[in-house]
Amino acid sequence: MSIQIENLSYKYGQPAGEKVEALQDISCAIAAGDFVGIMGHTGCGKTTLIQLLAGLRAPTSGRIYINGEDINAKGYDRNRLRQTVGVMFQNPEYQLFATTVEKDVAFGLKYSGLRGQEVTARVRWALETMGFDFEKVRNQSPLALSGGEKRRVAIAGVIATRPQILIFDEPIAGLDPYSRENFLQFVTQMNQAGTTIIMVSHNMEALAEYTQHLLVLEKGRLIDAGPTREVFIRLKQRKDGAFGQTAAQKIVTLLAERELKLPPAVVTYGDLLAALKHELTGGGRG
Amino acid sequence: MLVTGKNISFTYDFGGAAFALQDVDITIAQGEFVAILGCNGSGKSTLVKHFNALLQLQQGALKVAQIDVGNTEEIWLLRRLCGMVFQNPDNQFVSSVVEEDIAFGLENYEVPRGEFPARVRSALALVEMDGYEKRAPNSLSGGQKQRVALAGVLALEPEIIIFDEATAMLDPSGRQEVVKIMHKLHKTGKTIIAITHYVEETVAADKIILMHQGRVLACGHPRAILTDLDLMKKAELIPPLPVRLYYDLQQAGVNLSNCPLTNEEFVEAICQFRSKT
Amino acid sequence: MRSLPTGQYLPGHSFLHQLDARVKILGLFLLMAAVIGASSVQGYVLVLMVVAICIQLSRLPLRCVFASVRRVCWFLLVIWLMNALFFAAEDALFSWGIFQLSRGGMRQGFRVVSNVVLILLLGNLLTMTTLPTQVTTALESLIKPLKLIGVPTEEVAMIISVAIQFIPTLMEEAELIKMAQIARGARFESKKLAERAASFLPLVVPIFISAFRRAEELALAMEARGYRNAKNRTKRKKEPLERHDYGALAVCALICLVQFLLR
Repeated sequence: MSIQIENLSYKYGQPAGEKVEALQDISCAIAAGDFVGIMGHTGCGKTTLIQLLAGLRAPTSGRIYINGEDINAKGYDRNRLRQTVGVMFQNPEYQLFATTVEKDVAFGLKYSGLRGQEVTARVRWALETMGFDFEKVRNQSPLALSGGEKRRVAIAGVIATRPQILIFDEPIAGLDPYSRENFLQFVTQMNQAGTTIIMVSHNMEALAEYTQHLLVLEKGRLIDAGPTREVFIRLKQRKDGAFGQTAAQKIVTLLAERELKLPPAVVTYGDLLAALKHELTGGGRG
Repeated sequence: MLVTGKNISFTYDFGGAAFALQDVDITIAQGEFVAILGCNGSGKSTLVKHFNALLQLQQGALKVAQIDVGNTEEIWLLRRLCGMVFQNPDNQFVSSVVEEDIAFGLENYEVPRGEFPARVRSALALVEMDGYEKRAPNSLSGGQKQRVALAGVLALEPEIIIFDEATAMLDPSGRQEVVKIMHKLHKTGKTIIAITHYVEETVAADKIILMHQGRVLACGHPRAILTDLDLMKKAELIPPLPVRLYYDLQQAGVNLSNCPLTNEEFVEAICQFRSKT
Repeated sequence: MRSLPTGQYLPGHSFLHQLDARVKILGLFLLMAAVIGASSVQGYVLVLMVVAICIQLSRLPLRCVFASVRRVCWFLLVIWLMNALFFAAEDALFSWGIFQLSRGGMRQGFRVVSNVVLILLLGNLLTMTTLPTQVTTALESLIKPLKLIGVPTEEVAMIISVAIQFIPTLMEEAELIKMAQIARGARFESKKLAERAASFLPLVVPIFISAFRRAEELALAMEARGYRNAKNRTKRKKEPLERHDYGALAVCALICLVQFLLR
């Protein structure tokens, strides 16, 4: 499912408070099957943007097309949008409410047209995808689960409708390294299976390693967009260099100060390791 | 020793018999910067909640600043000496005005009202939030909220300051702000106990206590802990980037003189390596 | 976060800002009585003037004072229509089924709406010129007599103040939870009333859970900062009422009295 954003703006109606995120004249395109990262400081408008993409707010001006259809046009089927776009907000575990895990995961399927056995099969699939034993967990109360399990049930509830576009708002904030890797592996698998992924994150390493394209927001404006590597290289050349650099890029900067110049395309850990090997094992002086 | 704990064990009584803490021994010296490192569920937060008696000691012995934490008579003194900043910046404010929130602790210790303005001002100065007295905590960024929460703790002039995953919910710039203030306070002689799963935040500590599944896996200088790959794996953590680079380069035949912890050390080691060859 | 919360304290040095909070609360009750008691044209002119003078005395930007009214204007319209169409009066202009548009109904609608607006404005003036803790301290001293019948007045005051400061956070969270559920197919905007009502139940559960969790964390944080009970704390200075405080109170009482004489 491709997404086309044209001159999108959003203003909040009330007198300006300090934390109000607005968006100004954003245009970009996301291809079907892409894995897109959204980067930006707190309050840059990231959350507003994903709320607009999910049709949870209507833009002040501009248009969003999903597969060529304007999602804010009169007559556009909201329910189809809900089935197409899955959104996971921060703290997904607060969004659990049904009495059993099975009912909770099935919540979104109510309007999908699936019935009876089909629903159960879909719920089973979603829970098993998230690493649960379906029979064991289906009748448990979601509130009795551990924090990590709640999170996984919440994700199962979102993927149960098989959305073609999955949006995650800060999904790895606060996770420890292993949970973080597990989550990113899972998202990559979903992406490889054809789902378009949009992920908002503060974690530069995760964005650099996993996403294909990057959107950079600053104070409600889209200041850069493009293939992830290219965006990181451009961001490094900006004067306010602290914005959006990976740890590897920071080391490259430090090395450059000591007269060891590595290629500017070094963005990820793997790049840095390869470049250093090349430089230090003689290849660089050949 | 400012903190000495022996054989501390603890179980949350949710029916499940799993230990949240098991036979934990711990010592922390006056003026030390101690990082308690571990993944989710390793028991680190449970451990420090014993230091100011937010959790009651079930087994073992624990003394903090010469006070036995089981002694209910001295619990209030203990909590004044041992301040704590919590994980969620939104859930620790009692007032919608910064200065009133900072005054909350002062009121609890019956500090005369006349001293309030000066103490509030100096606490805010310590966290570099001068002039924010009249603001609403709600209108601040995550890093600023945590600094205001810290000011509320500092107004009571504690000896020990515990950061209970105080950076976990912040964005990178907010995290940097808080970590910077931690080190600044450490320089003024305060004992700092920082709980985290971000290994980068522990490299400058005097000591790391590494926890996993309710036990202390290891305790020692960051260099000894963070460069031990097996240990880090056992703790389900990923070593800092310079450490990973060091070992990966070693496999490629590049032997740096010693294992660096920070980016600066790493760059230094690379330069040394180059001048040698 | 989504929008500037209405009715929040705005610092200032106006007459209203400096008035003792106890006087402001009592004054609010007296003026509210005056508003509700207004029945004649003169009565409404009087309260309208009083509210206008109060706004002037607060020196707050009009935009902020009226923000809360703006926010509920649709609701006000509904109230007016309900009164205008359902009020049973003899002077019906026309009737259609159960609806009956009457002069009396329209008048009644105006009365109700203007009462709501005036009381809302007065309430806002109180919260916008008074720090939340001043409100709590004042409430605490005003409810002190209840101590005689065993009410823990200090605790009650503490609970009120903490609750007040938690409201914006909870509202924000409720909004996010609602969005998350809409995204999963909940139909808050459904036209079928039953469907709509049913969709609100699942909203309540996570909001409560998160409120309880937050309350638990806050309780820990308060304990860690040395809170044991509401008694062993720095006593608030007993601020004696000053001459202008008594004056303001007397004026409010007078307005109230005049209003009832005008009936």
